Amino acid sequence: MITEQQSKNSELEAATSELEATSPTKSVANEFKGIGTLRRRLLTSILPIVLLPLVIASTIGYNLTEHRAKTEILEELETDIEADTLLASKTIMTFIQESFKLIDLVAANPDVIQSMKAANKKAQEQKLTQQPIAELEKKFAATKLLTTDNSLNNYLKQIVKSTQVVDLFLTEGNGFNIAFSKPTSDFVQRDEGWWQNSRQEGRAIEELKFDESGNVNVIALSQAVKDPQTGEFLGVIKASIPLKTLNSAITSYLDGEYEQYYQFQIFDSKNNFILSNIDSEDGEAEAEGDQEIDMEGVEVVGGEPIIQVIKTLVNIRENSLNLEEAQQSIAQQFGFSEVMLRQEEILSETSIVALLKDQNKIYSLSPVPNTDLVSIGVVNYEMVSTEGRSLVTVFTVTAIVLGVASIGLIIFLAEQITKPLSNLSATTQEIAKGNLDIEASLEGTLETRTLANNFNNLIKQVKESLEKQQESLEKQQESLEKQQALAEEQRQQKEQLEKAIHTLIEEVSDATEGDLTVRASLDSLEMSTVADLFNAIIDSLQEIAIEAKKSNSQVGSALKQNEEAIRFLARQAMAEAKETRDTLVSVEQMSQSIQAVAENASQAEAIADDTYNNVLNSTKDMDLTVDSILQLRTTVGETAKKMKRLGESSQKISQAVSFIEEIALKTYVLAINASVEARRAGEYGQGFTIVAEQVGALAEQSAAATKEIATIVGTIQGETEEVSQVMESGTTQVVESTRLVESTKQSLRLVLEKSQAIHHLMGSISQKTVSQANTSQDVTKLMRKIAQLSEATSISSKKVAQSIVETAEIAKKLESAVAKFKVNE
Amino acid sequence: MKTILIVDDVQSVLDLIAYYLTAADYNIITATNGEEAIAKTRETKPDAIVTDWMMPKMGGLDICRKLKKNPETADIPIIACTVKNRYVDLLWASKQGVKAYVTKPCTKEELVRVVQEAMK
Repeated sequence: MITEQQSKNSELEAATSELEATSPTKSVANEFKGIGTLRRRLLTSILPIVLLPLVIASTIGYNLTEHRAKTEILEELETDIEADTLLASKTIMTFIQESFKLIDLVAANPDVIQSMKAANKKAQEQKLTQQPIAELEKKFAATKLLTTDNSLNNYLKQIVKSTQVVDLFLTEGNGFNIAFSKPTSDFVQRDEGWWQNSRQEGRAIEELKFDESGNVNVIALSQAVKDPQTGEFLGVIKASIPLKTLNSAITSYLDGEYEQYYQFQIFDSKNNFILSNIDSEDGEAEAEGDQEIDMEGVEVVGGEPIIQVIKTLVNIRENSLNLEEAQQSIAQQFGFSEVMLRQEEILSETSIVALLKDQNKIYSLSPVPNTDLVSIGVVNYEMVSTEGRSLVTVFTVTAIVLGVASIGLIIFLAEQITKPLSNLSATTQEIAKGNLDIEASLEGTLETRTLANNFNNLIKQVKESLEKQQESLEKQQESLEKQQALAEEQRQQKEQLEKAIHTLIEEVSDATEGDLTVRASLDSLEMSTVADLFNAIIDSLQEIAIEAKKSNSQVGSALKQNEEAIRFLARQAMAEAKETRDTLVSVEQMSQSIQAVAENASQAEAIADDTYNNVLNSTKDMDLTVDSILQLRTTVGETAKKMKRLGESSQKISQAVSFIEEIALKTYVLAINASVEARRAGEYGQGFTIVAEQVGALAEQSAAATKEIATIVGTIQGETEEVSQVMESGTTQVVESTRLVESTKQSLRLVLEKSQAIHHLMGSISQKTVSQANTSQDVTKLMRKIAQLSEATSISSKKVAQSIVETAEIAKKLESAVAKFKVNE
Repeated sequence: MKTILIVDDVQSVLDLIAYYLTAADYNIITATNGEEAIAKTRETKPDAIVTDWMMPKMGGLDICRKLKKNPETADIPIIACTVKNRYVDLLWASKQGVKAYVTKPCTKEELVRVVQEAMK
């Protein structure tokens, strides 16, 4: 008992150690190498969730802002540059108008006109116009003036001092200087372009020049002076105005957020020079105008296309062309992405302004009314992209800062979550090693605290259940011993039972070979019921066997007795069947004969029928014959009568003929008499004699004819007599025939009656034979059925005989089988 | 007075049962084997038969079957008195025509009660 308990304990220990071996503490590091820690998972899952929207939002925000900024800036740029260019135009116009007003003031001075007239007169008197310019220059090199008039010079100097004009001088009608605010380089101005322009057109604006004495860039304006009374050309006034005056006027008006990117040019479209170039990006130097500006190096912004557009604008103004058509043609010709032309009011003067756009620049062109000047405003909008770049930087920096902040936050959070878990994990490892006494510390979030608490409870329960297991093991031990004792008892019982079964088998096994005398003993308590069951069965079997033996012998004898009788019966049945078949053949033959008779009878009937019809026809013919004979008789009688009458008539005719003969004779006698008389009369009777002779001849002929008639009548009478005789004999014959026919008719009637009777008889015979034939056929059918039945009977009786034989055989087999059983007799 | 045939191969048991039933005022005939029992039954026509089951050669149920086949003896109630006490034994016995069943060893009252009931 004690040793068993020990072995149990050792088993328990082994199980515990096995548990330790399979516990996850050792293998966890290897098995879960591929799976990331909670912190890494948090980072890999949450970080993209945070950063991705940030990046997307930044990108979208940047793109949206950039796009909107670009559009807005562009729009602003367009409006600003256009407005500024227009403003520049206005400024230039005001500037020029005011400058010319000053010149007008000078020109209106009566002293000026007076001195000009005087100078003109002097030039004519001295014939200076005919001298070459070089010679004149030499001649007036000292003063550079035709007439030295200091008062006029002072006047001009005074003006220069008090106004923005830096230089002012006058020439007379041939271009010779007559007064100036300061000396000029040449004396003769006639060969200068501005002088010629002024003379022809009244006003001229000269290219930019650098006035070294004043150290300023100047714009020179010149105007022709005319005699107020006659309108005669007297001379030219030229005034130089510093560029910076114009430029500062323009720049002071400039307006807009991006004006530092603007560039302005003032361009003379007629003479193709640039009057001013204000580039805000290059600083204020040019606007200040303290240094000489080399306009040769400055080109029109936009180059040739812009010049062409300017020319087109001038063209539109001069020829009043359609704006839209011009706009289209400009767009097509010069490849601007956008072209817009429209009319603008500049100081109540109409002008056509243009706004052009190419890949990176916006051009605004605004011609100054009443001049050939055009103000050009340009802005390069590439700088918008520069603005965009700074936007990118802002967004990128924001995104990075936010990203770094969120990474830090996530790492901190992950640390907070995982620390209690890893502590708990360490505790579980300790417990898995077998130390059930330690407890997990409650720390971290509510969930990890609950987990640690649950874990502690679990460990407590495990401890308890281990103790319970120990107790139940002991209990099991006890019950096992009890079971063993019980099993031993059962085993003994089983052995006893087996023994009893063995005995039973030994006792009754002979029964399988047919020995029904065996008996099972009832000694065993357990098996006695079964043994009794066997005994009951064997008893029943014995009874059956005895009964079978008895019945079998009875069946055998009975079969022997019956076999002969049945054989006889079978033979008889077969003979009967044969006889029936023979009878059937005879009946069939008879039936056929009857059929033949019936056919013959019907033929005879047909023949009788024919005969009867023939006789009937003959009778009718006979009747007809009799009728015709009778008619013949009547006809003959009538003919005889008529012949008689004919004889009588012939006699009457012969009487008449003899009478005529008598008359003829008398006539002849008369004629002779007459002729005799006539002769007597002589010559007067000569004619009468001829007549008498003619009458005599006639009487002679009449007598001859009469004789002939008498002969014919005699012949007729003779023949009539003969006919009468023949007719008489004919009549007798007819009478005889009639009698004969009558008798024949009587005979025929008899024949008819007889044949009618025969016909009836034959009909009934035929009918009877037909019914006889039908009956005989029915008989044949019946006979056939009988034959079939008797055949069946014979077959059945054969089968019966056979089955009796078989039964006998079976009985024999049964007998031998039953004989195997051994029974108590 | 009713006659009862007692069959048992053991003389002491036979005597005991005879004693019990005599005491209960029955006329007693005894037999020690099956053949004797059948012969005596045919002769005397007892009112009831009390028989042991487990006997050599012819057992109690053999006697029962034999008697049931003969119409003259078929109606005599047969009481089996045996040590066999399982349900199947009882079932088989009743199938073979045993009217009542007494398990040995039994008291006098038990036996008499069963015999009386069987004869009703």
